[in-house]
Amino acid sequence: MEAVSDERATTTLEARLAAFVDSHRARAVSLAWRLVGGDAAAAEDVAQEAFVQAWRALPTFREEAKLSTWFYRILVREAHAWRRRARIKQVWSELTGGEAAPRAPVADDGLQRRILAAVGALSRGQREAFVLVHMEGFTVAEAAEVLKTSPGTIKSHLHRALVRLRAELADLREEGR
Amino acid sequence: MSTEHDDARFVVRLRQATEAPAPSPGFDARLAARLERRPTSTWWLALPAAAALALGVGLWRGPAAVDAADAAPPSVAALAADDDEIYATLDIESAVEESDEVFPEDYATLAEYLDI
Repeated sequence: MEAVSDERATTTLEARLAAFVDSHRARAVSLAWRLVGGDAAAAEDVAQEAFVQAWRALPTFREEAKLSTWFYRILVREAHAWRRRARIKQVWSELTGGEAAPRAPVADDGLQRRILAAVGALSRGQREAFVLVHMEGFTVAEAAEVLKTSPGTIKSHLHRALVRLRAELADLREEGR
Repeated sequence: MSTEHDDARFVVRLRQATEAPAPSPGFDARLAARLERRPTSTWWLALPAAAALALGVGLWRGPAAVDAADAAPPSVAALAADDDEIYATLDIESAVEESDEVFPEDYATLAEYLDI
């Protein structure tokens, strides 16, 4: 009886995740795109990998967090893993003097590239908090859940990120006045 | 104008200037294909066969070869070249568990070596 109940619960979860994939695909790609620094192909890979990982790990999902929180946690980690792999490839290529790994075809607009580079230069915590809250519209509480930290830490990251970006992109701030 | 208002305008400017592109036309099809390949929950049935295969390979290569292979540390070049393969071997559950990193130990060592 319990097994039947478990199976039914899994089936319900699968249906929920399928609906979630349908309704969150664009947001997932958007978030990934900003986290990986504007590489559209990488963003799609990261989003797909996150969906696949979520799908595979569904039986282990204990509903202690919302499905969306759980999924975006996977996606943020996947984006971080992608950045790290890309950085390792780049550093390794520089160290060995080999042919540099082909750079990701990031957004070609100058302003867009500058902003994404400045965001990419933030610390991991600052970058993820800034992208989630200020660029993707997550609340501080939601971002704290996704990043498994406290709202206070998120606010601190946001403050420091903003200070750094204001300095880095001071001309944009002046233009906006 | 208050600093908060100024900051809010600045943030809006950043957000508007970095609108992400929509998923490409092939995104859905690729995702659907990958999701359909999801392993079933009976993956563990393959474990005895995998263990037997590993044992068979070990015996075929001979204990000396196995020892030598185990003793030799992986080269950094091999790690860098095989990163995708290494990553692919990650346990999915560990990737979504509490751990802060999704890298296996070798990869973490390489990252540390490269000061990343």
